[in-house]
Amino acid sequence: MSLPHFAIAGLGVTPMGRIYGRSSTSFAVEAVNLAAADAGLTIDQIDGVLFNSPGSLHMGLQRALGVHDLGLYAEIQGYGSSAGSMVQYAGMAVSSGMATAVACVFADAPLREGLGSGAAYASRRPKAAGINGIAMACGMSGANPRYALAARRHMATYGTTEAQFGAIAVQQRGWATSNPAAQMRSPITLDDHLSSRWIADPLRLLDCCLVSNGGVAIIVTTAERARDLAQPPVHVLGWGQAHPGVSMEKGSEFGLVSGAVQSGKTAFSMAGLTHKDVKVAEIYDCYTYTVVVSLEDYGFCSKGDGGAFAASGALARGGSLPTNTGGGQLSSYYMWGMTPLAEGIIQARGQGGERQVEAHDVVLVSGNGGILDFHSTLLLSPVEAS
Amino acid sequence: MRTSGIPFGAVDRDEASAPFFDAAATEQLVVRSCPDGHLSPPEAQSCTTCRSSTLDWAPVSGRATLISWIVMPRRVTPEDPEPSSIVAGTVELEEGPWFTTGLLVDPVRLRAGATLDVVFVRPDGSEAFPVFELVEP
Repeated sequence: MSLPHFAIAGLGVTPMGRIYGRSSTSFAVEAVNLAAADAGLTIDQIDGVLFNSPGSLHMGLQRALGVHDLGLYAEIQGYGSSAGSMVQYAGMAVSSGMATAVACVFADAPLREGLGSGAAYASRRPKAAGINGIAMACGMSGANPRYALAARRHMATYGTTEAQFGAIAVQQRGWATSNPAAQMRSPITLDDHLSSRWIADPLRLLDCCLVSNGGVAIIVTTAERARDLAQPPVHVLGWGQAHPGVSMEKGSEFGLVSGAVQSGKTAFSMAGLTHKDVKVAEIYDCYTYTVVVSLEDYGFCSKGDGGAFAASGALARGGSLPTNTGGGQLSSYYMWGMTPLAEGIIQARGQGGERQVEAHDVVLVSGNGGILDFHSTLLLSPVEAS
Repeated sequence: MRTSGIPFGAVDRDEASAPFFDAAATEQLVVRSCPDGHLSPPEAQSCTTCRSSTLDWAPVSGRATLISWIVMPRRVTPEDPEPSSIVAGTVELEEGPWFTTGLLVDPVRLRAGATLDVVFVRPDGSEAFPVFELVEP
């Protein structure tokens, strides 16, 4: 089986954070226009669009963009895994001739002026009803408590500690200090982490991602076409997904193992690479804990050693595995899987400026959605596969 | 059935969960059971062992072990300046299925693998539902 060669040719990132008075659609339109311009394309040369959001973008997006006669148009939903999955579907579409240049976009605008981040998603939650409503009635609304349950199980099983989670927050903030697009650019210490308030014990404020208004878009085209466009092509050497469908019963691996095992294996095998070839990792970090479990599952360390591996300083500038080099969702901005993907593209291109990692020929981009339910992996490179 | 001094909120029944809440009102915990007698969690839509979609309800003992737990801080308000935290967790019923619900226990006493027993609560305006407390050693 011969593998299609496709590439990411454009990246558009809108202003990000507490930007009020704009809709998710408005951010999406701006992001797609920025990405097309970045690639050296006009908006009329986009003939495919895939989009993803927490429900704030709708099928009216095409009219808002003003693009006609699309060969591919769909909403994709796998939560935090969606960005990576959109690249995969777009890549297969341009490789088969369904479309020639596909825009993949995420946007959201949950922040409201005068309200805290905690209130951003609260209004979207239904009233507690049915059997699953029991957990909600007991304080388990939204993602925070569910990931806290997963994190506690990892801690109880493998001895992972709060301070190890904190070491991830500190190292990622270190990267964010040299990312002009990051929302949080002041350095933090381990003490700052350990004294930040509980969100859902064992997760503290500084274990949790930010909340952002904004949009990110990328343009996918064939490797051949990407060579003639404005930016250095970012080739997709391998890709994979995994949707574990973990049963909640005796023997369950909930909290201990993620879809990164299967998704990573598929992607590495496709690319003919191993985790040892990865020079930069951009790992979905809705929480510090998800970095720990993903590092283990991709094979960067043994199962259960993710906390110690991270706390060794491996993820920081000069470490053995520079990870979340823009600050990640903990410190730069929260655009679901577009946060690791955008930084992966920047690093693969060599456009990271002060935070550019010198060796960047293989960049791993990892997406995780639901409560470890959905997973995607991309292996990016400035060098086309032979 | 405890109806006061509990930190949990209200939950409504829906059509699918009516037998579960009817059983809870009589202080009986039930899970799903397929024709072959495999037990699945109460929210399952098909048997987690054999995938059968023919599911009935079956009583379980209410004895469980602790898989994981969290402590949710509650917002300070003028009416409640020192709110108690909510403790919740996932337990493994001795019959195998897991269940995620409230825990009536001081969280400093919790350890993975701790033995728990079901107890039923009915907060104001709520259906009765099962939560768990530590079995004293």
